[in-house]
Amino acid sequence: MPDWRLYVRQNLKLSHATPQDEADVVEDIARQLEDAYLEALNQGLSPEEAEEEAKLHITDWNELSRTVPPSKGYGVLHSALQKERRQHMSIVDWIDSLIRDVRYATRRLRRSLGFTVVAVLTLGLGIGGNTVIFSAINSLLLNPAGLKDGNRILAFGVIYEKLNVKSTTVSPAEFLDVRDSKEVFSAAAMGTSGNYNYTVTDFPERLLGERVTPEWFDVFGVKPMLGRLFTAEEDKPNVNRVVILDYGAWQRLFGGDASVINRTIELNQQPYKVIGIMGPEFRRRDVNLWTPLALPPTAYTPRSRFNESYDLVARIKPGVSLEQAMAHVRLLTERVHQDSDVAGRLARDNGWSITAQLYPESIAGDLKSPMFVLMGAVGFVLLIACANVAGLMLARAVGQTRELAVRGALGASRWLLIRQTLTECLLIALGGLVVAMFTADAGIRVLLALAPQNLRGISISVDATVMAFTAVIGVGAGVIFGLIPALQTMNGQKMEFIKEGGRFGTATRRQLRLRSVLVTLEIALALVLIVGTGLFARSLSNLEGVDTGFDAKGVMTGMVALPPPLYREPDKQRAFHQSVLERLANIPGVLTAATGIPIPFVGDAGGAFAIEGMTSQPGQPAPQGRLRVISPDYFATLRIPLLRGRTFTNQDTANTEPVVIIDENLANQYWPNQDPIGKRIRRTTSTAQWTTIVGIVRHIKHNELAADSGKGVHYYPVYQTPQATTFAVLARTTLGSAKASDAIREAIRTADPGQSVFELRTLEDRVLDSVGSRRFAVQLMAIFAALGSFMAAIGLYGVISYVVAQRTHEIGIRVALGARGIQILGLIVRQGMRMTMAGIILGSIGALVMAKLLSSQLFQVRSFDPATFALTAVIVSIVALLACIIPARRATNIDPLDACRYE
Amino acid sequence: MFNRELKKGSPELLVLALLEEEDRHGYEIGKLIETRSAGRLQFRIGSLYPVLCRLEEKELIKGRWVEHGGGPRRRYYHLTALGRAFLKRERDTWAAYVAAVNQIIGGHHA
Repeated sequence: MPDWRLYVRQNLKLSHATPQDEADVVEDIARQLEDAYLEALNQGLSPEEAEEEAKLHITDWNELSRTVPPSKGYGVLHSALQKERRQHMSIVDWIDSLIRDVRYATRRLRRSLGFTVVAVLTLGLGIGGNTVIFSAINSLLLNPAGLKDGNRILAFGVIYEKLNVKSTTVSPAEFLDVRDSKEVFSAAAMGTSGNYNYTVTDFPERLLGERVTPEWFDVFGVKPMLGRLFTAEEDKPNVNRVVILDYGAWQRLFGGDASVINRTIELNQQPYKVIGIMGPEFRRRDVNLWTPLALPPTAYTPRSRFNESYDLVARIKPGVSLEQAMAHVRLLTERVHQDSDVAGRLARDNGWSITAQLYPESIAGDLKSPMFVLMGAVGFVLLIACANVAGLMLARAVGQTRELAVRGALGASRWLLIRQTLTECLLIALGGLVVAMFTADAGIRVLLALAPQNLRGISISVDATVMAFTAVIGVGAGVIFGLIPALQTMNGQKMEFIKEGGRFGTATRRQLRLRSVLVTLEIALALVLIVGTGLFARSLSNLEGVDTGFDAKGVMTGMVALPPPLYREPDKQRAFHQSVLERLANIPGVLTAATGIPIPFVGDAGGAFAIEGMTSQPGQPAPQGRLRVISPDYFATLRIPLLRGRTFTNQDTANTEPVVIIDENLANQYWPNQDPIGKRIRRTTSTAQWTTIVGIVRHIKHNELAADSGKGVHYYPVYQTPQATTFAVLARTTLGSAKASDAIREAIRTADPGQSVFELRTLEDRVLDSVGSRRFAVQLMAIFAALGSFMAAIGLYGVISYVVAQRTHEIGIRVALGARGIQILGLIVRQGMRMTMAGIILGSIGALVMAKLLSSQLFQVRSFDPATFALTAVIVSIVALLACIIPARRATNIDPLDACRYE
Repeated sequence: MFNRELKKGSPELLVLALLEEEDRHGYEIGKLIETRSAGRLQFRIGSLYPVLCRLEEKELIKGRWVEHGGGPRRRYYHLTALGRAFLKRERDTWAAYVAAVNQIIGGHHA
């Protein structure tokens, strides 16, 4: 019998088996060949024929040598096997392998610290930034804190289309309309803000209160934390001496003492009984307390229409949609228009209608559109961050292709490799989340610090859902791009990857192309962000440069609210004004001082008037103008030029002829080609007298820098007008704001030690406040644009560094052949600038589209503003150049000898 | 639905199926495939042996040496629990595959 062992040993070439394994294999195969030989003999073949027959069983020894022992395969069999194995794996094994994966991933991440830091920071800033803005939008617009179903609450106003007048307040007549619409609104309430001086010590403290009807709290769906709400009985004049305190005021003034309930406190020198405390969740900006509105029953009449001075809110009844509620509001307007009496005619003539908007939006006011612009901007930042992380993961994964392929060949399963890549992505995501939490927290603080007045006092909480959502997006991008190469490695291209050396292979070229596309997109997005910021910044600076018509510089202002019960007498009011102004005039450094209500950029008032000898035509609205009540030196203090006639003097008192000053716009509107001086007008209130026009002043901007309605103004002298007891004190000084504030405070105290002054601010600040939302948006956009550009620069830097590394060999040869440093530099920089140029072109197109969409938000800037676009392109180019030059300089330092060895 | 690797996987399936009945040695497995398929399927030692190695490597089967009354040892293969579970699933997949092919080419259900 042939020696089958010898035969097998001669033919089988096992290069990588242990001697024991080899012996086993040889013995096994030999035994099988022997079986075949013996069987052939049994079938009657000759020994020679049987030997030949047995040898036919193995014809390709090389093939057999290669497959025994086999390397682990990758077919269906194998992955199916893995599933079996997983099913058999116990939870302990699973945790064990998880810990192993995490440890391994941590080690790898630590090994490439630069990559890890950049990825974590990029992701963290992207997620954090988005969380800040979305949280702000959520707290402001979608889900304001302390409101139950805020988006079921409507805030009402009226509009006079033909007079170009919008009011966010209404008259009791509208309140009746809404309150009686029981089928649409479950609760309706009316209120108005009021000032209360709370006296405990020598220094009265001013508290901001809201006088409201009892249903006010029902509309907002809140209950008191302690005590009770107002009863209908208490909402009547003279019995309304009850007060509900805000949580903050309760803490601050009474140290959170619960026994304050039923205690009597002194407000405006009147006793009020504390009946309730609202919980901390119902915070309404600066409101410290609530008292009953207590209008006399006679005030609730349809005849009160067109006398708007109350806030009106209502809660939409469950089951009624917002659209139905809005339709009902239109119906209410329709009803008034169809009235055959005077109200109906006035409503029709003036284009009057009731308006309603969601309560949260009414609070956010002009912040709404900037917030959505910011949301877009921060979304761009997230896109850039995603592209960056994707590029980084791609670079890293491709850099590891060879490692993956080798490990695959050595028996690591596809699942194992994917799992490890996933573990790394998740670790980076986790790091990103931690950074995001800090970023979000700090970001919200920055946001509130930059925020305009109407955002202050609103609490913004980090929205975990948003954070999780953005994290998933960011990590998703990383995982997808991180896995692509890992999967490619698995798809039978192992050898190609193993063979691929340091030079450009197809895989590296493909990944470089993909990364270049990503970086180009990043640059484009960053450019859009910068252009957007530029357009908004130019709009802002145009706005701030708008000529208001008065000189706000050097004017300090403060508000005074005299308690009406103590200052009912006009003489007493006048004495207070004169005392304050005289005192101020005697303070060195005070140039001029005045009082007035309302002053520019702080509130507004308007009124209809009649012109003597002129009857208005049916269908024509009555003459209308802005209304101001001022002291004699008002124009001098604000440096508003007098065009004709005279200004008021201290001699214009209740005992002299009633006078009025108008501005040029009112003059041109109602006395075209005539001299208004000497003409008489009368306000359309029952007590008003005829007043003679004695002067014409220049028109000024009153409320808005962007769009002044151009509506004319009539000014009345303070000593002839029994007026509201809340007014502003203005002082033009050379003292600087701190000393000017002291001066005003001092003057008020001298006039009446029981009165306080509040909201001491320079007039300049008040004017700038009107563009506060814009400035806020521009500042945040600038932050986002800088962040976006920085990320794009990192992306570009990464790609160029990679290019340099890939081309080290080639560059070395070039240097060896005599290329100079500057030529090498140019070579590398050109490659980066090609991407930059593509990004700039793409971004410019995007920016044009964006600017068109935002054109309504721009002020005196065209959506295609060549200067902004050009400047942006220059900025982007410089940043890109910097990002290229650093790695390119490395290329110029390449030593040809090293480079040729480099792989 | 069917991986193109399926056909490559079929020798494995055959081996596993034969080992399901009892432990067998290598040559016996090749012989059984031939006889049970009435000679239509033939696996020479050279092609079957790598399959056995592969299956053993994956712990679907387990080989052990068995002494035979003084004669040289034979290596017998035994189906592991893992192999049994795997066989069950692959058998279902195979049946589904055959059924699908038959559906298309109009043959009888296997």
